[in-house]
Amino acid sequence: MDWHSFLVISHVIGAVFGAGGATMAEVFSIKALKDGVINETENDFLKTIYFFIRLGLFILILSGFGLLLLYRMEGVAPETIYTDNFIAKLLIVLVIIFNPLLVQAKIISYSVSSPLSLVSWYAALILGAWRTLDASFFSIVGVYLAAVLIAVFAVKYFYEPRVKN
Amino acid sequence: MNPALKINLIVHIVVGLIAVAAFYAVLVNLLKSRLNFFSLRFFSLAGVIGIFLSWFTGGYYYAVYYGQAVKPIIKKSGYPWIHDVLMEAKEHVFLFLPFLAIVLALAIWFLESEILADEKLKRYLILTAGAAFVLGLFIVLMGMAISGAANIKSG
Amino acid sequence: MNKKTTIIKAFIRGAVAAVLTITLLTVAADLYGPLKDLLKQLFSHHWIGKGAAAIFVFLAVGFGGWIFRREAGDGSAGVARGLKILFWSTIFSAIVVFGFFVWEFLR
Repeated sequence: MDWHSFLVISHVIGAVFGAGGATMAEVFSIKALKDGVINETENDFLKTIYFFIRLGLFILILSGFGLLLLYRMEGVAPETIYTDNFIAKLLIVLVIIFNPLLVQAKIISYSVSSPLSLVSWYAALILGAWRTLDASFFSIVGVYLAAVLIAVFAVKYFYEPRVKN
Repeated sequence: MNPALKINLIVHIVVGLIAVAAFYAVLVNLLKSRLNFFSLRFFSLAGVIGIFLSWFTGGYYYAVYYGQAVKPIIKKSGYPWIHDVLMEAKEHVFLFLPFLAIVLALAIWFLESEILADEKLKRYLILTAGAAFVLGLFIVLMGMAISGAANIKSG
Repeated sequence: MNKKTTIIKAFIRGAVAAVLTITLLTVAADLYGPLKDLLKQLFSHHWIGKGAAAIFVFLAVGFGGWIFRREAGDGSAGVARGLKILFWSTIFSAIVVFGFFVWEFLR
C-alpha cells in the first residue's frame, strides 16, 4: 500500500469515527433524555462515544496533514489543493475543534453545541467526498451556516420543549 | 530535499501537531468541573516533549535547508508576504511555546491540591493553556500556507 | 507547600523573561544589523541564537529565583499572579512580533 492510500484510508476512518460518533451521540442523547435525566450508564455510553469523536478528529487532522505533506514532497501545485472547497472544509474543522471548548467554558449551551457538532461533521464529510463541487467559499459557508441555524432551531424549538414536558 | 531533511520535516510536523493536540487536551480537561489529574499530567508532559522535538527538528530543517532552498521560491512568487510576515512571525512566536509548555507541566504535576483549592489559579492556568493552544494553532495554519507556497511555480 | 509554589513562580518568571527576550531580540536584531550578525557569529544562525538566549534567560531567572527565594512566599496566589503576567506578556509579545513583521513588509 502506498502512502497516499494509507493516508486517505486513515482520513476516512477519522471522518467515520467523527461523523458516526456525532450521530450516535445525538441519537443516544435523545434516547437518554426521554425520561429527562441522563443516568450513570447513559453518561458512560456517551463518554465512550465522545472519546471516539475526539479520536476521529485527531486521526483526521494527522492524516490530513500527512496528505498535505505528501503533496508538498511531490511538488503538487498549491492551487489544486487550496481550493474554496478545501478552505471551507478547514474552517468547518476549526469549528469542530472549538465547539467542545466553547461548551465546556459555558459560552454556548449544549443545545447549540450538539447540532453544531453534527452539522459540522457531516459538512466536512460531504466537502471531503464531493471533490468536484464547484461552489465559491462564501456559497459553501452560507449553506453550512443555514444548516447550522436550522439544526439549532429544530433542537431548541421542537425537541427541547418535548423533553421538558 | 535529501531523505534526512524529509524525515526532519515529517517529524517536525507530526510531533508539532501532537504537541498542539496535547495543549488542546490540557485546556479541555482544565475546563471540566471534575479535574482528572492523570489525563492532565499525561497531556502536559506530551506537550513538553512534542514541542521540544518539533523545535529541534524544525530548527534543523530551517537552519540547513529552508533559507537556501525554500525562502527564495516564496520570495520570488506572487506571495512574498508568506515568508516576510507568516514565516518570520511563525519562527519567532514558536519560541514562546516550549516555555509555556514547561510552566503548564510544572504547575499541573506539582500543584494539584493548590489548583483544586484556588479558582483563580485554575483560571489563569486555563488562560495559559489557551494561549499555548491558540498560538500553536496559528503556527500550524501558517505552516500550511508556507508549505503550499513552497510549491508555487515561479515565472 | 510554599516552597513548591515559590519554585514554580520562579520558573513562571523565567518564562515571562524568555518570552520578552525573544520579542526584544526579534525586533532589535531586524532593526540593528550588527546584533543579527553577532547572533549569527556566535550560534551559526540568528534564530538559533534567539532560542539559546531564551533558554539561558529562562534557566537563569528560574534557578536564580529558586536558589535566592524568600521562605515566606505567597502560595498559590503568587502562582496565579505569575500566570496572569505570563498570559498577558505572551499575548502582547505575539501581537508585537506579528505587527512588527507586517510593518516591516509594508514599509
